[in-house]
Amino acid sequence: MHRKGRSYWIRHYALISAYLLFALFPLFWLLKVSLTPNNLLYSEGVRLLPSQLSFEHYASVLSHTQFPLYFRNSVIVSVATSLVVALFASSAGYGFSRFQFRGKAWIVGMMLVTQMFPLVMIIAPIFKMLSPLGLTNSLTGLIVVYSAFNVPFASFLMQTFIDAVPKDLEEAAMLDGATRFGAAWRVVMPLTLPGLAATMGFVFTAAWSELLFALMLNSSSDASTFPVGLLSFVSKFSVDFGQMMAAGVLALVPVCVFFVFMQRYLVQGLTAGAMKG
Amino acid sequence: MSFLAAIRITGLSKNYGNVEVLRGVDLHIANGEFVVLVGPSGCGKSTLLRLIAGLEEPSAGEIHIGERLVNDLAPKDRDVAMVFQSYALYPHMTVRENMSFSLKLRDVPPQIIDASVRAASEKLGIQELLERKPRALSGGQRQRVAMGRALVREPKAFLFDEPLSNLDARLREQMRYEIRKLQRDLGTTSIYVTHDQIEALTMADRIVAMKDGIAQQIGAPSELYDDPANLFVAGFIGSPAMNFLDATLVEESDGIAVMLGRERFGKIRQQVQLREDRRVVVGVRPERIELADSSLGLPGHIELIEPTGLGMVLHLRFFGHRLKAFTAERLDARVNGPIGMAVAPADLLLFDPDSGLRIRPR
Repeated sequence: MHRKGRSYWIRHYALISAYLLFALFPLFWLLKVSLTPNNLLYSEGVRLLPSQLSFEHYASVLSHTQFPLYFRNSVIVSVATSLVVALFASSAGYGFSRFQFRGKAWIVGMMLVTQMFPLVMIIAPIFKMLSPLGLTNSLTGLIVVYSAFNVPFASFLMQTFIDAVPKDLEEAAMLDGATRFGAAWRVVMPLTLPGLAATMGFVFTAAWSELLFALMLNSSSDASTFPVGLLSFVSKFSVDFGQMMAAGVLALVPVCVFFVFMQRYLVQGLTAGAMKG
Repeated sequence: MSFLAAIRITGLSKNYGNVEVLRGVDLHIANGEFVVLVGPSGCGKSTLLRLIAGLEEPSAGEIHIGERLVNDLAPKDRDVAMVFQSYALYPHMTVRENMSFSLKLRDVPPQIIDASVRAASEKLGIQELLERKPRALSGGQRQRVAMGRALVREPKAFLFDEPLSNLDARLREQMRYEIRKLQRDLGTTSIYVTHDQIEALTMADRIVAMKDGIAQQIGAPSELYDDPANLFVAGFIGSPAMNFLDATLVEESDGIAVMLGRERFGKIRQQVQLREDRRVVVGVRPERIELADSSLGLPGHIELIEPTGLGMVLHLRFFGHRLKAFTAERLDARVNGPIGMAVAPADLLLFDPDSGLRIRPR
């Protein structure tokens, strides 16, 4: 193997650092503003670090606003959505990957069509449908809508992951005494865990940060999610940036936790060694 | 151990849409027999194996395993074990888990699973590998684990789908022997698919030579070698391959002369049914061409000599016709030199040029 020279690595790391700086700077600014006391927020201008740190915004967000409730709602909606989507998308993905059936091309086509509309277009009809069912102003309604919109793409994602599992493995399991479902459960599923984790991560973050439907379908604050809650820091005459940023930082926590938890599966290349090698 | 595991296949066909992959195959495999399905790719041999395994559904025909009609039986209920070309080891399980998977599914008690896995792994010499994952194994080791997984189950039949084609030549030779020996010891009915005629010849009790979804000939290796039913079998079995020459037959007082153009190539003593145009394809195995000094026999011209260690393959020309001859002797032959050839009458096999079928002596 050719050893890379020192200048190669310097350039290598310089580029990576530049990218990280670019990507992470907004997050840093979020954190910085959230920790800057109110009296310094406007007076100090654009300093990289405030002269004084305080957790006052965090304290007031947690004790004086409804944010803990929004936060809980968001957790419920996102977790439920990613579970529902995981269940449907992996079943549908398995079907697309393993079976030939009449109308398959049509079904795939229709699922793609659902992804083509700007969401604003269908908010009104969706509201019309959910309202008589009592699913407006409810977390269940959001879970239903988010699941419906995430299943198609997640199914295609899962299909590609399942496609990567050799059919031989399943057939071996079926000859070993498993039913088709048993083979899918004991052999295909464990091997697509990294893909499932990626899919769930994708869906979780999508549901976590969704604003449009959450805002339009749920008007009561009991059923608001945190993106809607963040908007409440914007009032007619002022914006409470400190509290808003503190709430934003808090909102990042579950996503980070989720990815730390899933990361193990994301990086594992489990199928290596299944085939000829 | 299950007895009565004969496999009876009658009129088995398989179509994919308009494509006929298998056309009315009849095959009876005796209990404990080792049958090899051999043929070029696309001949339907793997499809036949997958039909027996239950991984495909037949379009017509019946499959019996033992006394039981298994057409509508799921693979898991057929009690056959299969070794895949890719080995198909479960990558997320250790070797031990791979081998015990089928027994666990059958709710076999753990102590018995342990004992079976130990016994099978000792037979195959993989005791040391039990806690490893497949990705940490070499190709040969994976092959053994795949065998072990089939072995622990003590199934009614073993199905092998080109199990050795991913191994290097030396290992393949060794595994050929081991598989055959293991099968002899266990006495389990086995069906083995390969495209390698050497594997077929060396391992089989009986060979099924397949082409275009049809079993062209079924018989013992020596039968297919010495007495092929048609041009395909004659050309597929044996290496170097049989020589085929377009010839005409001319009746003479003491037999029938085989003429290559205007040159006499040999003579047949028996009576055969001649076509009106007397055209025929004559087949001669390279090792049945006797070679001699150029002053004797038919005049040949040496174009190329390939030493094989065991002997040599000579590429010859006889009045514009190309031939290969094999000899185990160390001949003093030179490229571009002359050589004498002779073929015994019994070694000339005749085939119909249109149907490809063997023309047998009456």
